[in-house]
Amino acid sequence: MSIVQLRSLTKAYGKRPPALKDVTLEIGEGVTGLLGPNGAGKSTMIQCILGLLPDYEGDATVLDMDARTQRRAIRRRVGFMPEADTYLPDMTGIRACRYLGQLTGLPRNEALRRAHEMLHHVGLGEAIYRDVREYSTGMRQRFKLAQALVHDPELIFLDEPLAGLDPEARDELLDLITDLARNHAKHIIWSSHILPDVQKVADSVVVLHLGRSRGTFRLADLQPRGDRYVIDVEGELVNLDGFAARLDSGDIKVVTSEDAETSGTELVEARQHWIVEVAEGDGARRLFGLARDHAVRIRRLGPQSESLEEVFMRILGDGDADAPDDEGPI
Amino acid sequence: MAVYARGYRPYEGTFKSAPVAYSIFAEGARMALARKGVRRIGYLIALVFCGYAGILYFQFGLAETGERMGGGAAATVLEQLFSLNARFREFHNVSSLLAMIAAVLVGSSLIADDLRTRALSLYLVRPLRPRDYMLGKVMIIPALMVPMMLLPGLLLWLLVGLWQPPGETWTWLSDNVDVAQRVIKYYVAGSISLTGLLLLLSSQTPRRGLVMGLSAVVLFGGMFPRFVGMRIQGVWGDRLRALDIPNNFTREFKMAAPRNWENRVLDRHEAGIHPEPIDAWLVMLLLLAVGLFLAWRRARTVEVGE
Repeated sequence: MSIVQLRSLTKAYGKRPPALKDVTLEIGEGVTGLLGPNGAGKSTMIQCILGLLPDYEGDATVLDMDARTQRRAIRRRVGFMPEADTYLPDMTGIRACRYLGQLTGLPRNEALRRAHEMLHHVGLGEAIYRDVREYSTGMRQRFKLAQALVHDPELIFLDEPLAGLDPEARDELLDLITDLARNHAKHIIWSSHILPDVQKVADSVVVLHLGRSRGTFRLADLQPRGDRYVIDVEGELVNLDGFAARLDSGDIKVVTSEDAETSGTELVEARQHWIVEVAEGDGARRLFGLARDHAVRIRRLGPQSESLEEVFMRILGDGDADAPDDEGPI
Repeated sequence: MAVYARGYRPYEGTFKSAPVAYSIFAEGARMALARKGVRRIGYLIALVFCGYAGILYFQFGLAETGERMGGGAAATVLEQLFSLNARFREFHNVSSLLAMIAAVLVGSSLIADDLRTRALSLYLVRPLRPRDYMLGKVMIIPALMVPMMLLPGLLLWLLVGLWQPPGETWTWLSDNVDVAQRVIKYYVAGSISLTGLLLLLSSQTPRRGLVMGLSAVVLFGGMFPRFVGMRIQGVWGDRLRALDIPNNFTREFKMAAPRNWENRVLDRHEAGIHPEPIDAWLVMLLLLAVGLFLAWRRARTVEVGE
């Protein structure tokens, strides 16, 4: 089932070149990453779909409703977490969230109850009676998520939800978003230019570049790379170093290496996570042989899939900006 | 025991179709009344009201004394000193100035604050129409002006009626019902003018200070074309005089002195002090129309605000 359908969507700001040019695409259920570099038209697309920018050309359908004529019905069923630092002036978190719930059509008491629940859910339980103006960046991001959820929408638009957060806060918010998608069956459209975050959660991805759709694909369809393997190795550090040096001197290269675990004091035992590049076909067999020679245990070995970042760069690097849309799967 | 459920819980209640504009108005009015500056002005108006009510009460004692003395020069001087008409005007002059300041304090943030904090993108993703937002904002200043312009004026009229000799209260009130009507017209005109002006300015910039400054320029700068207009007879003189916005609504109470009060000197159109009522109302309604249009246009899109 399509959650969002766009046909020939074009939006220009004044006399400037269009921010969106003839975009035609379909977004399905689950979590969809809306990817593109800055200025690709991601926020403009979301704002057109939500009717925040009314003067656009083309057609948009959201949850089987026309975005132009059924705007209010759509807004009751969607939530939006804007990218901009936005809040209601002179209001505490609980009051602002309750008020926005009321504006969505919740009765006052229900809106207050939902506001409490959502603010607690996003981790603002201790700060609900503080003025939103006093919130830190991370707290404001959480508040924006809470207000997007207060009316229990089916579809949630997140515009750069993790922008400006420290790693710990990013992980927490990422967990919240994952929980919404996996355990509460929310459809999420997530606009971002930070690919690893999207890759952790998204089921599919739409790529925009210079206002054009450059294609959609499912992350499950990312092709394994035939020449790269992900391996977890275990052994004494000195042996691991020797193993790595031996690999690098041959036709197998360690591309990345990171410590997973280290223990012991004198004979340090370590577990590491490597990505290795093998030039020829029977690399796996040779890896096991060299590991045995260096008293290193290989705990896991599997082909490495192409990363979202690599696919993204490939898509952007393929046709030039004026090429016609590639609307099909990549 | 937790009062509210923890974790995400689906909403199983109903959605109501109550007017969204009312929610916006109610929240805006609450925030307006919570402002310290506005509250202080409210207290000041209450104080001024009590002062003038006391003077008017005292004045009746003087009038009675004058009557017992059989009239004469002394009574006339006392009546002139404590003219009901003059007190009535003075009170409204003071309270209208305070009400204007309160309106500017509140009105300068009507839409400007939403622009500054980019709150429009939170409003406009809710199922509301641009006119709901506009109507919600437009009702705030008239509501604020009720306790600042309308109630004190009506209460003063009522009190003077109550202080009449026994049995004459209803007669006095019905004889002077035009005073109450003028007070209501003064309130309506003031609300229209101030709402129109402040919506117009507040929807154009996120800078509250700028809105306040421009409001002051428009409200107080209008006296200059009026002074010029006072020297010009005819249509153009009226139009110039109509540019003095505060005068357009204060003229309503300036012509509202009770009929049987002493020293009643009404300002007259012929004297060239005020514009013709039609010109004054045209300017006020035009201001409101432009303000409403700009607020409505602002609520259609986040394009400019972003």
